This record gives sequence, structure tokens and C-alpha cells, in this order.
Amino acid sequence: MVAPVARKSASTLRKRVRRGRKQADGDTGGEPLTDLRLRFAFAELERSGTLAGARSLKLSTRVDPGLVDAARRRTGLRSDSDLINAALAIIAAGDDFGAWLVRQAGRLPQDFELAL
Amino acid sequence: MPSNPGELLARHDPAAWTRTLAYRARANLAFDARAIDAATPVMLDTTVYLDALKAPGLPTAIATLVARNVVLHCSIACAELAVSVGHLDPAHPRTAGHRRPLIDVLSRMAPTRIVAPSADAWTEAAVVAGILARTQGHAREARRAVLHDAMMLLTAVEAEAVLISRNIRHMDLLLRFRPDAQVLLYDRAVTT
Repeated sequence: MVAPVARKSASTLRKRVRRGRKQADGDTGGEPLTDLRLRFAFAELERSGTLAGARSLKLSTRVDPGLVDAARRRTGLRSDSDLINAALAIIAAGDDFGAWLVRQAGRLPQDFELAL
Repeated sequence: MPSNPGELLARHDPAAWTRTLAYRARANLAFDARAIDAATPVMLDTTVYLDALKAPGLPTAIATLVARNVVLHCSIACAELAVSVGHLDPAHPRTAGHRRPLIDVLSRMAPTRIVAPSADAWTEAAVVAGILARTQGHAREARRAVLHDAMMLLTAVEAEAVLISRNIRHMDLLLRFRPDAQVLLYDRAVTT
């Protein structure tokens, strides 16, 4: 089923990831590393032209509530749409670690040494 | 406890290692990246992450392999990178610039691609590192480095991955104990 819904850009979702974490109750805020992974995923999807720029597809599905609860705890996201978009972004972005790593030359100085 | 510590000790009988091991000629070590096929996962020693982050980056052959193959991360390498994130002085003006790339590397690792050594690997690595500390006369600080390298090597064996490393001397020694391990060595890229 396809239906037009409110348009939200990837940057809007990224902002909501951050805001959602701040809004989370008590100690159940999103994890910083998960936030970073989401930001990297959306940045990669934007760079590759994967995103349409609008949430125009409506999905109706059934999910395991334990899965949703766990994902909310990790992300701090409360909106179902934000959560599903975040999960899909992680899957769609895939793992491009190697290709990314070899493009990072020069980010550390030559004299940098590990603490161990 | 390991599943069979007796078997591990029998595999590396300390009494059988009494002499200082000589380093082998480069011709007897694996430096040919072309020998690694595209379907074989690679695991990265900490040297690979650091060399990739410094100019001029990884040597071309290694960079090609890292960009093409499935990359696995050893939890030991993650720990070595993470120690520096914690150790850098927050008040130092260069800290933010040094910490950022390390955090980016750690946060970009897919959790499903991070592999930890098993209990057996810990024990085996410790036995081997202990033997080498004695035969090579390693100073106390160097023993931990050898232990970490041994754990990375054994984690790669367990994951059936090729360990890519610039730590040529340590890997040369460690391969005497596990000649079945797959290792690809490299030299630092030349700055032009």
C-alpha cells in the first residue's frame, strides 16, 4: 500500500535521532555509538543518492515488540516511523568499512602513537 | 576455563622451546596481497587502522584488498584503539583532532563484524607469548604487545580470516607456533 505522508528529509530524521535521545526517559537514552552509526548510514545513503528525500511510502507490518523495545533503547527514538527508517538505513547502508577506511589518509599525524 | 588446556599446553610444549628464535628472511614470509582471493575475509591488525589514518595511507595493494574483501575486526584491535581515546588528555589542544578519527573508526565497525578471541585462544596466546618472552628476552612492556598480537592471530585463525599486519617481526615469531595461520604482511607506504 502506497500513500503520501508528511515529507521528512534524512537530515530531519538525524535531528530527531538526537532530539529523541534527549527526550528519552531516565537512563534509557540512545547510545552514542548507535547515534553515530545512524548518522554515518544516512550520510552514506545521501551521498550515494539512495534516498528519495521524502517519506512517501507507507508500510503496514507486524513486528516483535521485544525487538522494537530493544531498538528504542538503543536509539532513543520514540516515533515508529523514525525507528523503522533508522533500521532500514542501517541495513541499506551495508558495511562499507574497508572502502571508507582507505579514504581516511591524513586524518592522524605521523607522530601519533597508541597509548599501549 | 578453556575447553582443553592440556591439549593447548601439549601443542606448545614450553620445554621444546629453549633457544632464541632467529627472524626469517622476507622471502619466507607472506607479502603478496595478490595471493588473497576476493572471497577470503581479512582481519586488520591495529597497524592497518593507524596506517590508513596517517598520510599517505595504506600501500596500494593492501588498500585494494581492504576495500574489496569482507573486513573483520578483532576486539583486541578495537581495545588498542579505544585505549588511546580514553588516554588522550582532554585539555590538550590536539586531542579533539586525534580522538575524532579513532572514534569514527570504532563507530563505523559493524557489530556483526567484530570478533573476539575464544577462551582457548586467550590461553593459547598467553602460553605462546610467555614462551617468546623467555626465548626472545622480551622486556616486560613488550610482553603485552606480543600477547595482543598472538590473540589477534588466533582470532583470525578461528574466524578463518587472513590477518593483515605490519608487525613483521612479531608475526614471524608467532607463525612458528601456528604455521596454519593466514597472515599478509606489508611495509609502511612510502611518502612521496
